[in-house]
Amino acid sequence: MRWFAGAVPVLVGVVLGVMGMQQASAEVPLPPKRPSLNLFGMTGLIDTPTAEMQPDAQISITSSYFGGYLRNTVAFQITPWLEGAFRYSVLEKMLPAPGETTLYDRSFDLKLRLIAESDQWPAVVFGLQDFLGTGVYSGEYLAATKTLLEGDLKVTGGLGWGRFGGNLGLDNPLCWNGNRFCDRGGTAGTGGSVDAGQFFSGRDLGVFGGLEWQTPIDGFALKAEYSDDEYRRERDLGDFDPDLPFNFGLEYRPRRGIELGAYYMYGSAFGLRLSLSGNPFQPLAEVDGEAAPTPIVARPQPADDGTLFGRIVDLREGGPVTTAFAESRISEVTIETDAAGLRWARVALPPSAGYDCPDAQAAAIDAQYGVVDAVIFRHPDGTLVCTVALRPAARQAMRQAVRARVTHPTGWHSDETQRRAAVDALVDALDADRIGLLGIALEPTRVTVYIENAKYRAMPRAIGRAARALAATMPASVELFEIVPVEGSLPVASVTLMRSALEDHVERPDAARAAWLSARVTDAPPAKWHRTERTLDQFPRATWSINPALPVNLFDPDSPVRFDLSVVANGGVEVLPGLSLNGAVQKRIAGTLDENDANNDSDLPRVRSDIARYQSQGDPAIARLTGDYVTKLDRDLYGRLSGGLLERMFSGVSAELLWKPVSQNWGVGGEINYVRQRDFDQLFGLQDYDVITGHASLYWDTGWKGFSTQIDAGRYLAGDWGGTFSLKRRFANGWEVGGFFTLTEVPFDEFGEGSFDKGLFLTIPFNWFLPYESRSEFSTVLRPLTRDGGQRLNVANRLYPLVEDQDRSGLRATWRDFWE
Amino acid sequence: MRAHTVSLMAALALAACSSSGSNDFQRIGALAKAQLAPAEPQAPAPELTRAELDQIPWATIALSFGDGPRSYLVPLADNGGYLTYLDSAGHGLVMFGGAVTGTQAFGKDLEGVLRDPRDPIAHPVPLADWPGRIDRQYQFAVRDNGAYAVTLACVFDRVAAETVEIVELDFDLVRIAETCTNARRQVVNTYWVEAGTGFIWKSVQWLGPDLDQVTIEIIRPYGG
Repeated sequence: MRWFAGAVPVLVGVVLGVMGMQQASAEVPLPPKRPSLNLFGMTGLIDTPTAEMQPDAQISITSSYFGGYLRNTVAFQITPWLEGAFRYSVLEKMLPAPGETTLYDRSFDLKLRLIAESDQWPAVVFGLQDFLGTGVYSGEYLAATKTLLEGDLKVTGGLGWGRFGGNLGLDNPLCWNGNRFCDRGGTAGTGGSVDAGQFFSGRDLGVFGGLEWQTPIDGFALKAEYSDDEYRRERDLGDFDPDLPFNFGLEYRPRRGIELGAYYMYGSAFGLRLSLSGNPFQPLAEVDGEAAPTPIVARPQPADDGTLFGRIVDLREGGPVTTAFAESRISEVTIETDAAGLRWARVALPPSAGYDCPDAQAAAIDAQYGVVDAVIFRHPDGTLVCTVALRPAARQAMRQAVRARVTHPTGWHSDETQRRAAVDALVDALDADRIGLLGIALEPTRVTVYIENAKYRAMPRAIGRAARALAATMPASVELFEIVPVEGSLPVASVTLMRSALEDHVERPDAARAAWLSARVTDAPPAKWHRTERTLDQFPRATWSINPALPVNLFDPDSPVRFDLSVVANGGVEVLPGLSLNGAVQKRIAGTLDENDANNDSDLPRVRSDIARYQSQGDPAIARLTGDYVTKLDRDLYGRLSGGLLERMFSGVSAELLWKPVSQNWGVGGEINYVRQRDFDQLFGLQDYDVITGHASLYWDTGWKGFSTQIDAGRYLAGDWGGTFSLKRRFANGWEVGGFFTLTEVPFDEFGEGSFDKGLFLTIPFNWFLPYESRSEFSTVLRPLTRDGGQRLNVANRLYPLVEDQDRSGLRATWRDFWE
Repeated sequence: MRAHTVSLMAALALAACSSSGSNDFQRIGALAKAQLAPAEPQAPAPELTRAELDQIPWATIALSFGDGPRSYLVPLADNGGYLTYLDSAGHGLVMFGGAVTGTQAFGKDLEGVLRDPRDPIAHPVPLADWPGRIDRQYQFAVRDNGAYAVTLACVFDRVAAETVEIVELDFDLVRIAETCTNARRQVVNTYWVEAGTGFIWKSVQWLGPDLDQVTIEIIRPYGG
């Protein structure tokens, strides 16, 4: 294993050094400027990089071609100062004859901003091109870019090693006396690992640079660059013969998110580029078209009988002070601060005062004593004349004090008909928002509802709709609303709201923040369903769906893209809450996955590498047929049992425990499985191979820019021991972008091509591009190669994905939707 | 080939069905159909007369955008002076006094307005006592994004005394132009105000950078 381990702390230090603070938004945020991409799919000129960065979280897919070289890249702006990319290239005549001469190459890039551009200084970046792969394009570089003419002209210059050097013949300054920097070495054999020893090595130091000019014609830009890349291998093995170290390009953006480019490359070939780009922060569907929520009708405010505050007067804060304090003839003023921090002025009126409220003198007292929230005037004879509220907080406190003295009738609770009517009305109100009422516990002054959200992406929106439904249907005496969202039959968090707080906050400015501050989020206790109204009446319940599917197989040298059009039928019966039978059958309609006859050269138990045989023989295929049980064992402890045909390739039994309090941003879990490999036809037959696998897992939501990590350690399907590290960035709207790698005891050469398992995953919520609410999402895992080392069992209902959005920080992230 | 084609069509016809009713694929299909073959626009509803409006036993406002037809709304909730109006299409408007403080289901909705306590649009004040300038913060939330606010400094100009007709009734009012600005934008709201009480019978107000200005006419005032 060759790791550039020493670079990690250095990298962290640089990262911390370039982090900047996010500015608060005080106007409509301007759409960020999006620099253009190069033929490598990274931010750059044509065949070289620049020091610019894409807007935070920008995702781009680029396909470029020239001279027999097709490059397909997915790039992601991981943070505002770190850009990354995965590339799949089809390079003609890059392998020596005889035999297959086309190289199908996978590679990864990273680019780190060292200095942000300022008025005086250019932006400066450090980049690693093809640092994880066979090294065909591998190189390291430093680049600087300065924008001029109010951004219309960008000038870039850079130095590079490896692929970036050669033409000019400059010597690598790090190479002297034949040290290790003098020899770069060739491309890696199995590839897939980081050969940090190659960084900054080679005899040549390259220079590159160029210009980009935004023409006055809207959407058009011109580029010109000097590239020191000799294309030596392409020249030696193929037909591409660069005549000049210069490239020229014309680019066009017909609309947001689309880039087209045409180029003249190295004086000898024409090139084309198409890039599609999107950003989780800029949904394609900017509005959701949902109807307005049910208004909250406040319970009738009881009239104060005058014994608490006298007559209540609202005086506008900051209104004109028409009476000077010295002229008010008031001499006795006592200031008290209550437990909530409100300042109350108690005034004894002079003997000559009448019983009219001297509200103008309240403003004078406020001016005299500084920030008084309310003034209470008492007549010398002891009569409470009035209370003048000078600020909204005092008015609310007075409302709550008056409200607290009122007792609403609770006789309805002992009347079955009235209770039934309230629950039925609640069911109807929730139905309108596709929120199911799984259970309810109704008491005279509080109600607990277990809701199932089938519609809203953001759970707080469902909680808010449920709160509105409760306010509309519950008798006036019910003051406390406890709302427990149930996800996958698991009650995770309990959100407790005061009805009076809802009435005080609704429709006000900063209402979402006020609602969050007044809400209490705790771990939901394990539900005693047999004691909850309505629950068991709803079981058993069946669900089914039929959906199209598009399984895709990528990166096979014989056919880089294979896919099927299939139909998947899902069905399930939930016998009791958490106890269910589930199945899925997939039938191919048309496609090319069955044409995959790739030879399998794996030396390990073939737990995944026979995927081609599964894809070709499984038609129809039972994708899943399991009995499942999920339950909450304690307030913060969850459990799962699954048994049957667990996934396409394995059947068996699986057990899992997860400890994850809602107030905590981390959790730990453990899983153990006994499985046996299924026959290739994916019906009920089994092969001889069986294994016990299991992992201990640590989950951590860092709380920084949505990054969360997961570390799993244990035994994998091929019997190998090791660990998986996953890092992903999760967005409040449901987007997820991340990567993982797994290292086990299996040596790289035994693992085979790719050296170790790694991949990227992407989740796009349907909400992002559809003009209505949906909980559906598109998810995929992109693996450069499917090998057998470091492979985990695919289990449909692992616990952490069910609970991760329902904890305190998950709810807070989308709480702004509470009133929507 | 024929059997393959039939099975393909049958499978796709069945695809995207579920026990929960319409799912995303069906809704996407419906959206596509609406785009490709939009429904014929309905004829606008006839304007109501004052006599017809007088039969509504509740406070009523009329809402319109540009030269479009009026919609009539009644307040469904009063939360500390914040009145919530809903129309039959599921659009909501929230007002405090004469000021619009929120929209619902209009698109990029106005979430709330942080008002200057001296704002005469929110609290009826005789015209003679109107301040020269107030500040107002309009709060918005874009779908899937963080919230942002637009803060404007507003000044009032008394333009002219006018007689304004609101559904067959005439009112002698004063037209006030409110010019609100910040470094990036300028918006002009217009109010027709009863001078003695400060009550706003008609207004044209800004709802946000992505919505048209709304015209609000009071048909029957809210009594509280």
